[in-house]
Amino acid sequence: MSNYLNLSLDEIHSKLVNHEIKPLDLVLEAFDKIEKNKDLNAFITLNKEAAIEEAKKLENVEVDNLLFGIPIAVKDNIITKDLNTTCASFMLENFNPIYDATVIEKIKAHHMIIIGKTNMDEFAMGSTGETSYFGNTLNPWNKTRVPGGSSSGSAVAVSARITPFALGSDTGGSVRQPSSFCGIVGLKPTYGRVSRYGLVAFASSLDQIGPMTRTVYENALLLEAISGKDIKDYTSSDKVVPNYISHLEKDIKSLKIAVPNYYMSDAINVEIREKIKEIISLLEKEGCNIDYIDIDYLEYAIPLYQVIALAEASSNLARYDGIRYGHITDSYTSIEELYKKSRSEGFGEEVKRRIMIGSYVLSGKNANIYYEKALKIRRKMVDSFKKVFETYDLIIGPTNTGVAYPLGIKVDDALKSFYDDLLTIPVNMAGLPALSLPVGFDQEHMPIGMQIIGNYFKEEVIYELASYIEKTLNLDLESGKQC
Amino acid sequence: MQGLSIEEVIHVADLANLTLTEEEKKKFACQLQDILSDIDKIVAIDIKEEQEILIAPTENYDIYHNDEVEGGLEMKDILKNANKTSGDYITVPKVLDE
Repeated sequence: MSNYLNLSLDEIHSKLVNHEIKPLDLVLEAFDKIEKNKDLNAFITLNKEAAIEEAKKLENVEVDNLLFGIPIAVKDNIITKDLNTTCASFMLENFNPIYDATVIEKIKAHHMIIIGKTNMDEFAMGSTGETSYFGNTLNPWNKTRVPGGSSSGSAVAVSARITPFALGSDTGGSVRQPSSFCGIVGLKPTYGRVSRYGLVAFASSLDQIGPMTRTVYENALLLEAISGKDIKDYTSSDKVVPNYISHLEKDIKSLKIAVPNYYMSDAINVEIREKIKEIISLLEKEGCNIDYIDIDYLEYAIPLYQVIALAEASSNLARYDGIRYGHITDSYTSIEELYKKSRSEGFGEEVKRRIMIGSYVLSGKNANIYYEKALKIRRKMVDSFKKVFETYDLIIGPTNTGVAYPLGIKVDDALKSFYDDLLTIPVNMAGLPALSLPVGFDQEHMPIGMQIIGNYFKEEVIYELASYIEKTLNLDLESGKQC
Repeated sequence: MQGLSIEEVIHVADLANLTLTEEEKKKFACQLQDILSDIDKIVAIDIKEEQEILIAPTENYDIYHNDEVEGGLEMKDILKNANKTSGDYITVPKVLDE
């Protein structure tokens, strides 16, 4: 089997330009690798026939950009025309979209080739991949551990080097947490940087699509490709999309960086805190100015998320009624019974639990007691972040409280998936950009991720720091070698 | 911890347009209580009545466009994923009483 997909992007690109290889070689290699790594269960639907056809078509097209002909995996909540999009739910098991999401149009315009749709937590609700209707995804660093979630398959596809690129979505940490657990680079862009048109809605004020890649350079390239104003998403921003890769080699000496005390508390695994402290020393030696600070309201992020995300989810998922699309029950005597039975059969347990809470906090007086109150605290939390960014360029800390843990240990704990996202949720609440960067391993050689949070629409500053750390550490991040 | 009563669970499921099995009712009674206890933390926070809210972290402004007819979806595409159809229509159970 060829191994072109383990080469750097620039090497692959130059081989394509020099006609040493064709896009078809890359596509066939990706499918070989999927077959070889079948046990990881990273994909729900493969796009084999169409991908091969597209690759052959590209043989007659000039290689016009760095992403040309490169295989990409797409999370299965981003809709793809004529290619099933299930959200890992029985509800949408046979859903075949009639148009492409804006990000899909954009990656197709760059002539990237979609290999398949990746496994995930059902409707992006979960942090382990274990809520998928299509079974668990395994962590390629240790197959008895969770890959993180909800963008589980996307993280695994990149980590196992099946595809160099993947798209995920992040509502409370769903790009960053699995990226951290699988040793890859994952970014949640600023809210509005990337169009959400065609992303199956979970919590509309928190959701963002983000790039998941092997390296910072590749992440920056993919972000640039998918960003920009979209008339079909009025929350998308018309701010100019920078040339992110031009920022990668910049000097980091003048950066002022904050470390929230909350991110280094006893709730965080000690090995992870030690690793982050090592990075802090490294940056201080390089000349960065680093302070430990307090940020108000961070400790309320989880209850805020439970109210706001679940309220929005209950409203967004009200559309699944078995009529226009999605699962329909076999027998019913009234429209009400049709709705209730179709939904009860179609949704899994995590989704049911979340939409019940969401419906509850929005019902009657609760809308004021919980939802409105949460929105007030959300404003206060955003004000606290804005104040930090008056003085500092970046905030850093761990991505997660721990490393990837064994499959199945907390499937019945209703709070677990929220507390996994303790350090990532505040970023979604504020709409800020944040990246998870692999910075080392624990004693059992499981990857540790560091989170770099930037000011609004300042992804380039995040990349600046991330590329310096990546280059300095020079870690071997190819998973599965040890088996 | 004491969970929600079964009646409360049925009420919440009803709000979400769900019917639950007996087993689910028991399980959710405890789990929903766990989450609701967590959520109660924000009720205790002291915050001014007139404090502004934040619905989404974006600057909302009005966007206008010309009132021009543009291409829409094809009927066959709209019906593609519907479970029950009849001609150009989606079939649903009767919603009005006799």
